[in-house]
Amino acid sequence: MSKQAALTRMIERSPMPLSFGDDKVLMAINLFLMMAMMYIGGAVVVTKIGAIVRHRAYDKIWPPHPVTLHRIMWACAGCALTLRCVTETSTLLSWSPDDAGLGAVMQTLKRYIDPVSLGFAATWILVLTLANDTMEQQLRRQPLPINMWTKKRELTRPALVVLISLAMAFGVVFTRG
Amino acid sequence: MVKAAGIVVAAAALTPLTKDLLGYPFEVAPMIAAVLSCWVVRLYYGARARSKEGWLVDVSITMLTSLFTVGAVLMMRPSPFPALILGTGIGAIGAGLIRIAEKKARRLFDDEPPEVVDDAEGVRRAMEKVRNL
Repeated sequence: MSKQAALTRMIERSPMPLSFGDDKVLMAINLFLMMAMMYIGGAVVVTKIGAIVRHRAYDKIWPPHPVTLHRIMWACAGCALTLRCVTETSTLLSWSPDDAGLGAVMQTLKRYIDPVSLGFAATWILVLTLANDTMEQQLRRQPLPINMWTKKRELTRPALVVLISLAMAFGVVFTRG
Repeated sequence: MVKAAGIVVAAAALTPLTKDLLGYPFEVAPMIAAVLSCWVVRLYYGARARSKEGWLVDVSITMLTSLFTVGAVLMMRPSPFPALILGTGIGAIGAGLIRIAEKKARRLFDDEPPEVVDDAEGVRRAMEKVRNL
C-alpha cells in the first residue's frame, strides 16, 4: 500500500484529524482562527500590493522608495500569514471521510506550500533587518503626527470578518456530522 | 473509532445534517462554508466598489453572488473544502458574474439561425445546445 493510499485510509476512518482527539470545540476554534487570519492576511496583501502598484509613479519600485520598502515588508508578512493559514484551513476542512482522496492530496500539498510561506516570512525579516535602523531614526523625528485612534472605523470590517469566520467554523464543524 | 477485540474497526460514517430548499436537498456544512466565505470576500474585497458606486450596488452584488453560491452548492453538492473555494471564487468574481451571464446568453442568439424543432432528434439537439452553453 502506497503512502498516499494509507493516508486516504486514515482519513476515511476518522471524522476529524486524529490529533484533535474527537474534540469538536477544539477543532472549531482552530478552524475559526485559521480562516479569520487567512482572510485578514489576504486583505493585507491585496491592499499593500495595490498601494505599491498604484503609487509606482512617484514611490519608485526600483530602486525602492522607503515607503515601497515598508509596503513590501508588510505584503510579505501578509503573504506568509495567509499562505500558512490557507494550507491549514484546507487540511482541516478537507479531512472528511466522504472525500478522503482530496483530503490526502491536501495533506501532501500543505507540505509543499508551507516552505513557500516561510520564504515570504524570511523576505520580510530580510527587508526589516536591512531597513530597520534608518526607518527608526526617521520615526523618532518630532513631532510625529500619528493619531491612530482616529482610524477606529477601519476596524469594523476585520471585526465583521472575524465574526463571520466564527460562525462559519462552528457551523461547519457541528453540522457535518 | 470503535475498538473491538483489539482490532480498530473503521467507524467513520458521518451523518451530515441535511436540509432541503424548495425540494432540493443539500448538506448544511458546505452551504455555510460557501455562503459565508462569499460574504467575507464581498465584505473585504468588494470594498472598492462601495465608494465608487454606492452601498446599494454592493448589497445587490452581494445578494446576486450569494444566490449563485446557493445554486451552485445545490447543484454540485460539494464537500466543505471545495464549497469554501466555490464561495470565495464566486464572491471574488462579483459583478463579473453579470458579464459572464451576458456572454453565455449572447451565444444563444449569435449562433446559426434556430432550426425547426419538431421531432425527438431536434429536441435532443436543442437540449444539447442549451446544456453546452
